[in-house]
Amino acid sequence: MDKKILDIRSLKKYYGTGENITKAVDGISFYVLPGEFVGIMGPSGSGKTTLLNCIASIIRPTEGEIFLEGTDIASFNETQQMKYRGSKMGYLFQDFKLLDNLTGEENILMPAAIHGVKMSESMKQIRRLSDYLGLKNLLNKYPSQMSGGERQRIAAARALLLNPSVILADEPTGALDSKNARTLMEELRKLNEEQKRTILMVTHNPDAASFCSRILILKDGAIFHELRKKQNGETRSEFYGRITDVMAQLGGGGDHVL
Amino acid sequence: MFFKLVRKNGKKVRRENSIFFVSLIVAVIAFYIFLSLEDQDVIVFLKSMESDAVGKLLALLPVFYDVSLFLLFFLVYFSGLYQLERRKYELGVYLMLGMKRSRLFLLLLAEDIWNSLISLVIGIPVAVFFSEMISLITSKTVGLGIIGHHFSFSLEAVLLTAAGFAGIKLAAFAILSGKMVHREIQYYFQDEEAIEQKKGGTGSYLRLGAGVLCLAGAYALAISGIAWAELIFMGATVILGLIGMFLVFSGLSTVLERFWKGRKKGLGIFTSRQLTEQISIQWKPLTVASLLFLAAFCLLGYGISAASTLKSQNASHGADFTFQGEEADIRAVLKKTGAEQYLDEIYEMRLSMMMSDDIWEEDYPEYVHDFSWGTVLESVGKLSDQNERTILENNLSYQTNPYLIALSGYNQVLKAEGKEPITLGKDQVAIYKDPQLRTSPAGSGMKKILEDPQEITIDGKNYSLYGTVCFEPLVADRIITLDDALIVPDELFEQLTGPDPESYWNVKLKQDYVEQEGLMQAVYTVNEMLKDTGLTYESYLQSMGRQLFYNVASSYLTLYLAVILLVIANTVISVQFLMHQRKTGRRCGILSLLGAGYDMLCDSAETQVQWYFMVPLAAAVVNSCFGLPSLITGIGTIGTGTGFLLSGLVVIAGVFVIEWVYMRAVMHLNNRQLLYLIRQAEESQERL
Ligand SMILES: Nc1ncnc2c1ncn2[C@@H]1O[C@H](COP(=O)(O)OP(=O)(O)OP(=O)(O)O)[C@@H](O)[C@H]1O
Ligand SMILES: [Mg+2]
Repeated sequence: MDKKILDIRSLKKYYGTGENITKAVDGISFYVLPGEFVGIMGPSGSGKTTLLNCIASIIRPTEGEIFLEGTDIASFNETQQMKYRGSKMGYLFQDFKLLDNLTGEENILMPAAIHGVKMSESMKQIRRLSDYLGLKNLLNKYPSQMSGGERQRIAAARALLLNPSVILADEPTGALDSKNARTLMEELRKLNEEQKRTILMVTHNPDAASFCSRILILKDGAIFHELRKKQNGETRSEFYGRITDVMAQLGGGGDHVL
Repeated sequence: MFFKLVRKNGKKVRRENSIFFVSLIVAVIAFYIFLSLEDQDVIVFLKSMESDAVGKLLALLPVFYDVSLFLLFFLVYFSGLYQLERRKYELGVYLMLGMKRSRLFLLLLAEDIWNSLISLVIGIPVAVFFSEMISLITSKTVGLGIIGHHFSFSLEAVLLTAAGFAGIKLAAFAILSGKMVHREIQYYFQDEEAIEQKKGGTGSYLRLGAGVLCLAGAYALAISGIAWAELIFMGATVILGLIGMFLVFSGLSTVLERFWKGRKKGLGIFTSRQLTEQISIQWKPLTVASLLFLAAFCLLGYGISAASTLKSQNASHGADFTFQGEEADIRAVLKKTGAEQYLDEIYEMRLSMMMSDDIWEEDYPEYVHDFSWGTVLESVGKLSDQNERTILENNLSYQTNPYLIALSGYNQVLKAEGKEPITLGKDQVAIYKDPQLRTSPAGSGMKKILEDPQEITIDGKNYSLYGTVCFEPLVADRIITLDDALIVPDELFEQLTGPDPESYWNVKLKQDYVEQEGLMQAVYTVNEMLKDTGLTYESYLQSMGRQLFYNVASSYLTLYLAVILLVIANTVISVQFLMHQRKTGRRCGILSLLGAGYDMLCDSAETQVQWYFMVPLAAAVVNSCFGLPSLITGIGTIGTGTGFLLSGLVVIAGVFVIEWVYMRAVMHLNNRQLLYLIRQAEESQERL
């Protein structure tokens, strides 16, 4: 039991009432083990972002429980939520969400400042991350002076700064071209494999998804299918093939989902 | 439907822009009070005495009217700009729904008119109330009493206020809607415009250094008094000051960035970056606001010093009335009218010219005396102050037929003022100068000369000079004005007097009567008794009236302008701040996603508000430390002493309160905006 880092039990999020009710997430349960790299896929409107935002405590679920290392974050009050956000979990956004008036380094340090963590420790952490993510020349630049891939690397460093238990990523490659997307995925995999970081990533991109060890496929707010990378050395391209097959099945033609 | 929308939107605008709505009401109040100046008790009273001067002042009102409208235009314009920016999205929706632009502007105009009407409806009654209070308070302080007070409501002032506001509202509206008309619909849905990142390098240090030098130059000119010597120096001072201010503000953000570098806790970095960015982008309006503050402070300082002298009319004077004519006639009239019971004993003031020029030889050979300034001339030449030297040399060169004042008369003046009489030896005379020359170079130069023993010669005989200059006024007002004269013992006066010595009869009001009625009222009552008796006389009332008029006029006008300028400067700052916060609202959304709570964001925003107000205010305070003393010495000190200090403190406290209120209001508005932003950020996050 206590090995699960994230345990989600019959999570529901409904919008609106009566006739206009939208069941964005409608009874999802799953768990994530430490060091897993989980992908979440599914057609547009299937509830992926809603699920991630519930886990990030950005929105409050209608029903259900979310245990992060044993504590139920769904029942947090606002202060607890704020404490949790950005420290216990790191979030990577499609549009990076960097502060354009701060330098790369200052952006990365922001969570530490907000959560009152010692600067000296954070600086050490930055140096460590800098090697992983190749931040050397980015630290003193402003976001407007960086490429999309560079911005996402800064955002990743920010998400990792406080050693969160889980990293959530909502289409982190969405605004990147395929080369930058590939580089970012390589980096996330490195983090996952070498630093044993737990990552939960929403993506539309089967290529990005093929980096994951396990993929949840949502449909209409519920888990429709689960794909696992085979233990006996399945290659990434084989896994990619299986993913596209399922997606094609799901949408009655993979095109509009991709 | 249309009017329901107008009323509903109008209410929303008023609530959301309470600062500007209140600013507008304050402006309406100030405007009405100023325009109804004519009906103020003091002015009505002064009109009966100094109708010329009052007439000139009232003739100036249209100029002030135009100038203040011009200034208020900025208030209206800036608040309008902010409102449109704030409602951009809503307006965009109206347009998207197919509302014609013309109809949309009609809607906005109607809302605007509705709100202006409300501000007038609130403002005017408050203004009438304040106007009455000011009228009562001033007439009480100057000693007019409040018995004769009439309630006054100036319809003309109301109409002019309304017309003026309607005019500037329309003008501002026309410009603003002209700006909006040409926008693509897309503009209305853009959340924020890209903010240019400006980085100051060594260039900004250079600008800052140059600015400080310019300011130092301006301060030096102002404090040393050179600025007042000639128009061209004044111009140089002002231009140096302006250039200095703009240069300093253009480079300020770089320095502040350094200054704030250490703040790393919490949102410290973010806060300081927001501020430096804002200052580096908005340095121009900030400079203007700071200059407006400076102008307001100087006007306030000057106005207060003028207002604080309103009460001190009781300057030392030896006569409340001065009569001309035969003593017996005067006494008879005083007795008949009953004025006598209010008056002290009358006393004589004798004056005469001593003839010493050759031209008199023909007509009055028996009156001509030999006169020379003796050692005084030589001592004047030795004066170290060049200004004093040239003026006195010039004076003495034409004072060859000095006026003589009989010592007994002058001593009576001193007695009436409650001062010690002076005693002159048989061979001693004193130098007299007009009270207004007391602080002039001629007065101070002569005082210095008399510190050493001096002698003059009359008819070959040496007379020593009394050790100081006598400055007390000889009569009640200006029936005679002597710049220079010699006070001589009565015997000598008889001996040297010319063919037609003049006699004036001075009298003071009884002290207990003055204490009971107040000086102004007492003089006024007795004056009413004597007015139609055919006596030739003057009263201290005129002297007081003149002084009072200048003080009342200058305090009214300066305080009025100061209030208007303060309101405008604050509006400019508030609008600039809030606009920038709107444009950078997304950043707060991001911070909230990183775990910064509402309180933390509010703290940061409040720090920003404080600094953003503090920077131009501090600059204005520093500037006015140099400007105000210069202004007061340049135009002439009108007020000193505890009254001045006290009212100065009251004003400083008042300014603090005003600024505090504005800051709180901006914080409040901004916090609401923040809350809205965070909610929106979370919602849009949900909707991704
Ligand atoms: N704030 C909201 N109010 C009402 N309905 C919402 C809200 N946010 C999301 N929804 C609805 O919930 C459903 C799930 O939305 P969600 O954003 O989770 O989808 P998604 O899987 O992330 O889609 P995409 O791949 O397009 O990002 C959608 O039908 C959406 O319309
Ligand atoms: Mg989504």
